[in-house]
Amino acid sequence: MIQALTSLEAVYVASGVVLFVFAGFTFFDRTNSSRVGTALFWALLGVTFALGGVLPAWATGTIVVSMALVDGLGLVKHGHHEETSRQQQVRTADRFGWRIFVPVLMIPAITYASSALPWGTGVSADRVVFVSLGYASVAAAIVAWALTRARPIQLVHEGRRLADAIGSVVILPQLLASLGVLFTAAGVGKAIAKAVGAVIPTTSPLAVAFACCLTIAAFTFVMGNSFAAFPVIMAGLGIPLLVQQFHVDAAAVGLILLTGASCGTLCTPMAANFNTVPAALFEMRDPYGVIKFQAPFAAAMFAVHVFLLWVLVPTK
Amino acid sequence: MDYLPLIGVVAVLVGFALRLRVTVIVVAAGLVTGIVGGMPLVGSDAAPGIVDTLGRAFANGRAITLFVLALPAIGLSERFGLQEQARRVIQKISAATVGRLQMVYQFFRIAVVAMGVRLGSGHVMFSRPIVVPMAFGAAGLEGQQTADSEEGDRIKAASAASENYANFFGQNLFFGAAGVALVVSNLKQNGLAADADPRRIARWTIPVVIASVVLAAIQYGLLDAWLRKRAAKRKADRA
Repeated sequence: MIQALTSLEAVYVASGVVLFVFAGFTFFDRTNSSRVGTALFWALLGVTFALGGVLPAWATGTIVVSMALVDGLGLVKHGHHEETSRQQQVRTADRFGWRIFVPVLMIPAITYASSALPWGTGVSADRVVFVSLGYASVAAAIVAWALTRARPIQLVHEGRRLADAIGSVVILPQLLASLGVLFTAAGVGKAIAKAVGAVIPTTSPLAVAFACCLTIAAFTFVMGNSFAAFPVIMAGLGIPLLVQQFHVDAAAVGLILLTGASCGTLCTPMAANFNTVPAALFEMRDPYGVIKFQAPFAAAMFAVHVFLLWVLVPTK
Repeated sequence: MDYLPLIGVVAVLVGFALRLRVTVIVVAAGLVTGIVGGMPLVGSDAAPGIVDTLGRAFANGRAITLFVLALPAIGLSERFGLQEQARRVIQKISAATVGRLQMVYQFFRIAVVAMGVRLGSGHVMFSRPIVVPMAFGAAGLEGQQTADSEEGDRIKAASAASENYANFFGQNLFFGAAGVALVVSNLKQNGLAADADPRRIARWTIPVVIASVVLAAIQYGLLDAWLRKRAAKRKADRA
């Protein structure tokens, strides 16, 4: 029982339940012009969470394709949520002060504290971290409710307000990561590895470090997001060359390639949310002004990433 | 023939050009690539297919979207003044120059993302309402006239960049972050489960975030120098 309650599946099921509740309330939300489609989207996501561990892979895959279809047909919309006025915000901020930070800060605090406990060798590190994170989120909801003395139902309303505000983009990071895995299975990683092998000497650690960072940054530049590029470049170059050939710590390779990809994000108009939307939001004359400002910084950070990977290659 | 699978990348570009929904682009790019790569639609144990590979990866990547569980707590806190309170913290910043203001904001944002606290877009929440006006104040450019100038544009660009620098290079300091979850699931899928420790992975963010802060400080210093030069020139022109 305890084993089951502290498994990753338990927090995924809990997330699934939250998503089902969102779906249910959305279904009855008269202010949403596409309440059925939107509810369907959240319910499908809930199914992948709650049952992802037991469903056959093709069934989960079919659900993922269905979610994209529902979204592609323009059926995911948001309802009207009561917004707090500026005056109300000031009033509540005066009333609660810094205490309003408590629920939100509890999440990292509990996650860190719980992850520092000795859980024994049989418990995988990722299970410790993500299960802690899941329960910490639930605890934060309870504390937020107790602190504000709001009606419990308001947790649902406010959670759904945020979910509506994010919309179908909520699945994007996970979906892109899955696309990267599919790309890898279809041989994209191999194709890139072959192209890279034809251009650079793969026996040179510096050349390999450079090639890894350049391909992941370029791939990210095109896609506007690093999550699809990452599995492809890891499988094609990072793991075979840096980890297996040069014996660099796999944890280091993973993280450094992931942030190396961000050098591409800083330079691409495809990452609209980060680069072109702010330019519009700040009413800049040059829509590419943010990118132009960030480009030299990105180039310098790129060099740092190449250097980090290169120095991590153990000397014989 | 070997390079044919790269067609999925082309599919992504076409999808963006056609302004399709991103979710549709992603699934379509996956389908095209899988078909070109000779994968069956639904595979078997011996040969994985397109739909089941997608499904398996999606199920394995659930930790990436685990933050939905935190939405009720964050939403309720927001309703009761979380954002307003965060704004008050930033407004306490006093910085003499544009560059120093960006630096302080960047540290503030790193601290927030390092705790895994998600507050939506920092550009909407903090940069536009607080950082940009404060930066204009620090540069002595409060007027409308100068806001639409080369200096104004550069200051705004820096205000967008400080948010991005902190967010991109700081967020994986939190070992429950989506990026760390991505690395974990990737290492596990590649038979490197022993290395898939979120805490060990997140630790490698430290050299990256230090480098990002140092390089940003240099860039902001150059910006301050440029702004001083422009201000001096404008003064000389007027005289």
